[in-house]
Amino acid sequence: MGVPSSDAALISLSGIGKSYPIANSAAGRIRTLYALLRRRPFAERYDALTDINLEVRPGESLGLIGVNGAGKSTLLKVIAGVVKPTSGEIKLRGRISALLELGAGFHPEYTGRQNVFLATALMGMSEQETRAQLDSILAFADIGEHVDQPIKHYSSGMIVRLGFAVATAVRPDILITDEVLAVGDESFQRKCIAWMENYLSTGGTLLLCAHSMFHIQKLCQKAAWIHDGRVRAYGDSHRVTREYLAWHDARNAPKVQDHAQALKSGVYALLSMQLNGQPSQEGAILPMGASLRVSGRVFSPDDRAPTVLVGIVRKDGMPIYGVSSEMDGHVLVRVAPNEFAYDFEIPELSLLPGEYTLKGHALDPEAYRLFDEITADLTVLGESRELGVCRLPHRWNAI
Amino acid sequence: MKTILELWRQRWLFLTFAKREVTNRYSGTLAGGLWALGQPVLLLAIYGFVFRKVFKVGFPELGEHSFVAFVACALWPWMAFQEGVQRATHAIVGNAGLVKKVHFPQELLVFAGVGATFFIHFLGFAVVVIALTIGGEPFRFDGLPVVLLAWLALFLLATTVALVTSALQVFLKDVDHMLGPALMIMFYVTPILYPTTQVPESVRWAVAFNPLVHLLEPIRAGLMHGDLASLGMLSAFVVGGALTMMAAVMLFRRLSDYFEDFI
Repeated sequence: MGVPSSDAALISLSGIGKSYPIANSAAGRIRTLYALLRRRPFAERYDALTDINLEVRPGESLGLIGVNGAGKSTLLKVIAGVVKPTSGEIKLRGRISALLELGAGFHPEYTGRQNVFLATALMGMSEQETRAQLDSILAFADIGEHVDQPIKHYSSGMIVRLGFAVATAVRPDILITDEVLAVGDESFQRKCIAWMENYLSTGGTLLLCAHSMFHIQKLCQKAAWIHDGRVRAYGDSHRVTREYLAWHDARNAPKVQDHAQALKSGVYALLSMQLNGQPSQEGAILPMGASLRVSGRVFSPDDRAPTVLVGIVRKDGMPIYGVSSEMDGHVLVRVAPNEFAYDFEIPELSLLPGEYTLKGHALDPEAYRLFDEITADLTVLGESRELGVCRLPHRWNAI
Repeated sequence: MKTILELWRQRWLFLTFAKREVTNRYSGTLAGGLWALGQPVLLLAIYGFVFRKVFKVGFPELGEHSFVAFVACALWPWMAFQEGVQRATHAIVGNAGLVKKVHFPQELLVFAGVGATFFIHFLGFAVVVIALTIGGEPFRFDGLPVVLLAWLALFLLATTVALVTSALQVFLKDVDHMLGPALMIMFYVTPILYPTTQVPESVRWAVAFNPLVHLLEPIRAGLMHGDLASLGMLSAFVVGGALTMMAAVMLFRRLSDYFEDFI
């Protein structure tokens, strides 16, 4: 990722990497200790982050997205200074407030008021500075007379409110938060969002890590998709979140066995697939409105009639239409021992011009499980200014 | 030098941690801070009874002083050292929530753990010395500079040890288990219940290797005889102690980069 560097950046990471030692045994722990003391690289290590290059400029909030364990939290901790990177350089400018866990520094035996003083001391504020801010902190937290009771009697919502109030007591140049928008009750979440919006509109910068794409799109201009400890995509938050969601949906789709493996392992499998009589590997190119025929043979290990499913998806993986023989009540014809034939036809293909993928699947007779998949390229030719993926039957009525 | 400046900037945090250490220890107890005084006083009473009445211990070093006063001079500094090291060893592991989630100089937790213990036991020491004086014990207050300097050197020593043990404790839980017996042995090989002169000649050379001897004996000499002779040696101890403590801070920092992973 080549990001132009600028002196104006609040956060600038170049080539950041973080590796952790793998030390499960006692001997491993001692080896790790020795490596740390000698400043040697670890013998066995796990790379949590690899070559991260990011930049956050004033007023240009960044959202981090990715699946659990991708390294988002580690990256936030690196920027917050809780974790020291193994390699690379990190440059920070301005006052940073990190909200990795609301109420992390709170002690249960202490009153709310005492905890405020400890938490602000952790942020580098003196007692006098805290005293000056105390009223506004307590007003924002809105926990009433509970402030002079030990935190252990608080509800989790109250602790969260106090934590947020403390973290935002002094307006930071960068606010780092890790999923905190997802906690607290509805009214507190609204209060947080309102505070954030005000903070952002007055030039504040946010570094956010959230699973909610809505929050990322709403609050951040930029997004970085972290995958396996690397930046997989970086840029406009709407574009990156869309890419991530498409990938996420594809990953969560039911796992289908590889075609070659399905054939070998003797499960329900497509033996062949033709598009308009041509082998599927060649794909099909046809004008809009033409007929599309998908046909072939399918293997059945127990000689019962299997189910065949044919579907069309857009190039980015979005499904357009799919239907199976079982749904339509069609029973495939047995043409040889353990072999059935299928012949599916769309008489008038109403897909708009563009590139598509056609998928054929073999399923068990009850259509419970997908066993096999063959994909083929499908190109629809033609000129059209219509929007979307397919032409729906329609008419304009004269009044 | 940079490190010292950095730590000075964080003095508020240190004070807050130390205050928390002191109040935490006795919050929820009925007697509160009295526990800090009660435990060593009870120990002192037992030692006084066992050694004086049962074993009938007596040695010329006592002079006009009581055995109780002799033990008291060394017992409180020892308690501060032992408890300071023991508690601060858990400073990192016991504050896992903070260490994993908040950025701050983690050695402050160790400083605060040792500092709070020393604060408590130094107060106890002062109370006991004053109480014994009122009771007729002829303590010499012109020896005070030696006493204060020795306490300072002891604090540096305890902090140095605690910096190492607290960092190692994160990686090896054995440290805690080894520390208990080690401190117990230390208590008996250090001349607390007896003067160095009672140690057999043949092993006395070994006693000199115990740094605690050089800190506890001057406190006794200062309070009991107004002896200021060790002022120079103690100053050297303070300087050397400060330097070794800085070295311990460096070692601590090498390990602290990975605390959040192992804690």
